[in-house]
Amino acid sequence: MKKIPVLTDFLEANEQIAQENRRIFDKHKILVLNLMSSPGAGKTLILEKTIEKLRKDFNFAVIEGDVATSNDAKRLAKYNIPVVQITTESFGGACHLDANMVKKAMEKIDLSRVQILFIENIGNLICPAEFDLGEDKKVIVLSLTEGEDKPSKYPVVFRNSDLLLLNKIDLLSFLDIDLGLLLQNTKKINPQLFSIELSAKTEEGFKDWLNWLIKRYKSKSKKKVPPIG
Amino acid sequence: MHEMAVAENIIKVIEEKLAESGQKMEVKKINLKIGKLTCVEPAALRLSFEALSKETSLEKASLFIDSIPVTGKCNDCDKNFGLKELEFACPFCGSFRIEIKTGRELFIESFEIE
Repeated sequence: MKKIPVLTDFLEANEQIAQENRRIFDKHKILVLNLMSSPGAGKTLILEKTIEKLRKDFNFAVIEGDVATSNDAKRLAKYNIPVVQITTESFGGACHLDANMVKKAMEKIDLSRVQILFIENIGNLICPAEFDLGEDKKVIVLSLTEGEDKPSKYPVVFRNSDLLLLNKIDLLSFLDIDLGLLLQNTKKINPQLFSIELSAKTEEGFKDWLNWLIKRYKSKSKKKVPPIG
Repeated sequence: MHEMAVAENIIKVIEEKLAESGQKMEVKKINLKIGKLTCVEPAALRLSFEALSKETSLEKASLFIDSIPVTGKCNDCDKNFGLKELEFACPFCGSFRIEIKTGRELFIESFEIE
């Protein structure tokens, strides 16, 4: 038997495409965020409210990933922004977006007119964390209803993310959750992970998220944008 | 399924390597290094590979998976250690400022043909 060395990281193909995506995004100075969460944590409502509040200041676009249906894309389409829906059932029902899917979606958007692009990943806390899409930042959305031990149970996604949005904070008084313990568990997995507590529904804490976004955009585009007061 | 994407990539990379080397032989064995932090489940990977490699030159190949444990180094006390529980803290000084050294590999090391 003949042995042939390979020494290939077999996510290399995805990584190469992700870097190409990144080069294109950087050329247009687009801030790109990859939003991940469990199903139902509130990613789409967070996006709806963000676009509603900032669309006079920024040109948004969204690449929306779901296994099936275009329900989320329809919710976002009312803001008259480019929204491309990827349904992965045509890619074999994949449980995460990969760089190639994003590359195909990018071809349907006039990127010269986009300033901030949200990629709403498929509701899944395991696989999305491993697939670079070409984004600037990975944002994980956790609903307070999910409990304190999510960071410990899903360390890879928490470790790889740049921002944690703790959503549904309006429900805190109805839940038997120890918020301090949740934040402690998060710190154990990723001490660098910045977290913001908010409610997409009541908009409590939402300004902190918007200002984080504006700051990231300023940094990417080197443009002067005032914060939300 | 997650492991389907990984299996697909293995087949693609090896078929390309075979084409490069001009070999038309059967692949008998594929040596993989998979870190425990990658969440790739070996049994699911084998099933996916079996399904996807049918009618390819990798159809008769067995996957040999070297499962790499998670190890880290503390940036505060400089000690190296293994991590069994996936809590990223130094077992010596308790610091969270640690670097993961091994456990994230997703490698095709080599394959064997006949």
